[in-house]
Amino acid sequence: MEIKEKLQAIKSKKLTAEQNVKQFLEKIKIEDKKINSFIQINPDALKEAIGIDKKIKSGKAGKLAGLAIAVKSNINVKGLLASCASKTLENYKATYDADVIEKIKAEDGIIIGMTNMDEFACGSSGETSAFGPVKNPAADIIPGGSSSGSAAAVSAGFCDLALGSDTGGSIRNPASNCNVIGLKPSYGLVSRYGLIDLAMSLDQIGTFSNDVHGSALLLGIIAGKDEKDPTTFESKGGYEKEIEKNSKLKVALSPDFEKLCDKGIYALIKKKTEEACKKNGWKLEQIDLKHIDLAVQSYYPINYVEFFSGTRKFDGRKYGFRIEEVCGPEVLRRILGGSEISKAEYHGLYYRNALKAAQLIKQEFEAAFKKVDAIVCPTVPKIPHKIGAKISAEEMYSYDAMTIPANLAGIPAISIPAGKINKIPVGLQIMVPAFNELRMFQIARAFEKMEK
Amino acid sequence: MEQSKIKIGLEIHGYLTTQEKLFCRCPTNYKTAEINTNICPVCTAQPGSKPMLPNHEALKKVIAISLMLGCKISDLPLIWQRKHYDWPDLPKGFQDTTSGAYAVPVGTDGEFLGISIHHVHIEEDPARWDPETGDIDYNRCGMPLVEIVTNPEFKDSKQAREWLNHLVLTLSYIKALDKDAGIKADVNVSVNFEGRQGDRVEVKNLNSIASIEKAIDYEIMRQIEVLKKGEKIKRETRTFSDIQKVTIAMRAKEETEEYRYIPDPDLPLVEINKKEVAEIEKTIPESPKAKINRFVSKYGIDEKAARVLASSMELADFFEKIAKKTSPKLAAYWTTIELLRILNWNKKELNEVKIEPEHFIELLELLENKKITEEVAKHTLNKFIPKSFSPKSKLKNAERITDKNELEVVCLQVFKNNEKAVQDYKGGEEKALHFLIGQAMAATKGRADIKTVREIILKKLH
Repeated sequence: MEIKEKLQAIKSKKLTAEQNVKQFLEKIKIEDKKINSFIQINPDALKEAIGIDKKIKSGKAGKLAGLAIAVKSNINVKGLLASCASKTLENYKATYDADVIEKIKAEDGIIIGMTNMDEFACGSSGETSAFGPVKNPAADIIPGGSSSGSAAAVSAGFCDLALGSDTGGSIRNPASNCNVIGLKPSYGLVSRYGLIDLAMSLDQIGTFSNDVHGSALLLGIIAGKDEKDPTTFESKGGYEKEIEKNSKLKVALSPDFEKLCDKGIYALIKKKTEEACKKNGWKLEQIDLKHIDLAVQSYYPINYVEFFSGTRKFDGRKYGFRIEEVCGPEVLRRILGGSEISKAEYHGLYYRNALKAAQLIKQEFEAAFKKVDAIVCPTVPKIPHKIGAKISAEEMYSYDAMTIPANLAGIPAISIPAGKINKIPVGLQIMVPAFNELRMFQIARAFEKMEK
Repeated sequence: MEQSKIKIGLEIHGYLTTQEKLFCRCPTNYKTAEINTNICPVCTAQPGSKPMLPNHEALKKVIAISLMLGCKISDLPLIWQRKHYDWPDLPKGFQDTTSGAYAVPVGTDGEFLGISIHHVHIEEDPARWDPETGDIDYNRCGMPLVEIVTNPEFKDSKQAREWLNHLVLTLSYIKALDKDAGIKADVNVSVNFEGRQGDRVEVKNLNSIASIEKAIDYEIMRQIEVLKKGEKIKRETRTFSDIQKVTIAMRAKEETEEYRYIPDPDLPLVEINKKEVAEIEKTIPESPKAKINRFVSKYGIDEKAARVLASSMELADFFEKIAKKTSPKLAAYWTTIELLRILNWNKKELNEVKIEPEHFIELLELLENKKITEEVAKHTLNKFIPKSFSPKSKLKNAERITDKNELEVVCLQVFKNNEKAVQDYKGGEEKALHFLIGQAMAATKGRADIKTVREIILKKLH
């Protein structure tokens, strides 16, 4: 059932919030043993649903009334574990609600549980969790990461919607692999207050859903200025009301993305884009993005250094265990790397130059968006590996070659299912100028209509 | 005496007077609050918390301090930097500061009383950690601090002490610093003894002006002794023991702390608004030194009195209001001696009592016009605490009596009541005259003009 229909069913009392949550809980109980998408189920979810049913009856319920929302374990939900799927914080109960959670609760959404993920969001495969890897419900490959549990939970039908975080592709990459919709908003659209840091200058909280309307609805609710995150901006929200609108657009493909991709994947995305342009009367363009081959190389120094800085609070003195003593190899690699390259002797050679390269990429996108309205490319450049297959760190990092540019540029990007190659889902990524989320949803909705 | 050249530089930390902490809304009354009550997810560094925009009031105070010290205010935006170190008092694992590599300080290139100021910047205070018990009080964590860094231009501890006393006084003028919280400082000392140059030694964490003075004296002595022996002074960081009054080595240069400064990604650049700086500049009061010079030249009062007046901006302002309406010398005497006498007696500051300048002026006018005696004026002033009143209205019956006829009546009554004294005086006892004058004064409750009384008595008894 689409989100729009479900909300209608709840509103017209054909379905109660309690029934909705109950069926998810039962399904999770049986099926999640195999998938491993949740670390913790909210013990009060049913009780909260019953409360919301009362509100619905009295006609005072919010916009998310009765919907079950899964939350990545690096977002604070008061009283639930904010473990980051790590040993460091395995018993850490959040002492406060993240801003996004406050907003969801205010609209009567129900937090169904905390999802599994790559440890501290360090990973692109869903395999580095201290609670074991997540299985992909959609195909026999890795689920992708780092928001692997949230993507898998939406894909498996364990919840209506989910929250993840995206620093270099951590929402869009697993969305692509698990055949669902995942989006990263413009940097500064959604408050990061309560999101445990990976790389502060790039992190954004975003959404997972099975339909465009669901993501548009949820993003509209969690977006907006928050004085507890000074990097945020005002937002009107309400995207879901206007997603059916279509306008004459210039939609571009880029040979510079094509270069970084498997031929088969690129051909599929190209074909879909051409079809959509034809059907919607959009003009198809080509655009050069010469510097995006620097994206992965620029991204990791930023990621390492900011992650090193952000994890200094995990010193084992106030809560949990000292991170270096209990973390997995990928987390340790980033901490040690960040610690090394931020030393004074390098005079900012790595971090500061990486920030400059990011700035260059940002400017390149700004220039491109003066010519075109949206840029389309594959979400993941190659066919992902199977769980447990050994690949190098470089190979792992290159999964994010198509998604990292949007983080460096601070622009919104959404991944939507675009079909399959040998039964393996392929995601199509749409990028638009910063704070033009509505246009992104409208294009995504046009693609979605083609599939159905 | 042996040839030695000494250079001393100071890094001074002071608490800014703000209502809220630097990056959250927690109150700053850490001295009176129960431990760990002024806390929130931000200042205790709960996972996922972010700093709020830096407290603008704190920034304004640092701008005011910089201006007061003659600094140039930065044209470039301030960059908040993370200074990383691993210590129990630092919940985030880093301190947010506007100092360090790539920093843009608030103010640079100032000068204060002959010592040049390298720069002035703003940063946050860590928590209070008790190494004995391991207890941590986060009430202080995230309080806004100012750091003032001088060039190494002091020659000895006395000069440093006097300069610091003056600095604290000057900054109290603009209410930017919490005087009661005191200052903390790091001190750099380098010595050249008979041509042998020692390296720079830093003494950290000095908590009072007294310990700054003692640490400098000890370091100079220690370094000269080492150089005398022909040994070298290496660059190092030392700590001062308040109990033993000696400095103790902490770490050598090779172990210099690695702070891994990075611009804080959670905090935007802070543009300093030029209009606002101009507004603040208008509120910057005259420095104590300039005030003393002006008081001496403009009002013709002596320097000693001017110094007393300049020791508190409230007192100086009060004096100026009085001096404009009365004789400045009279105003200086009555503010620096009599007003301070009653304030000290009542253990109050001028701003803690309500003494209206108009009432004070009235009192001095009455005195100047000989309407009341000095005795009565002092007595009236005593009653000005806690609240002054119009002395004219209260003293209708207390005005000086100069009318000869009225005083003659009083004197005749005194003679009648003190016949023995009258006889004594007539018999040649000078003492009796004083007794009779005293009786006349008592009979008028001190209001009689003593000169006139004396004249009447002398005339009547001859």
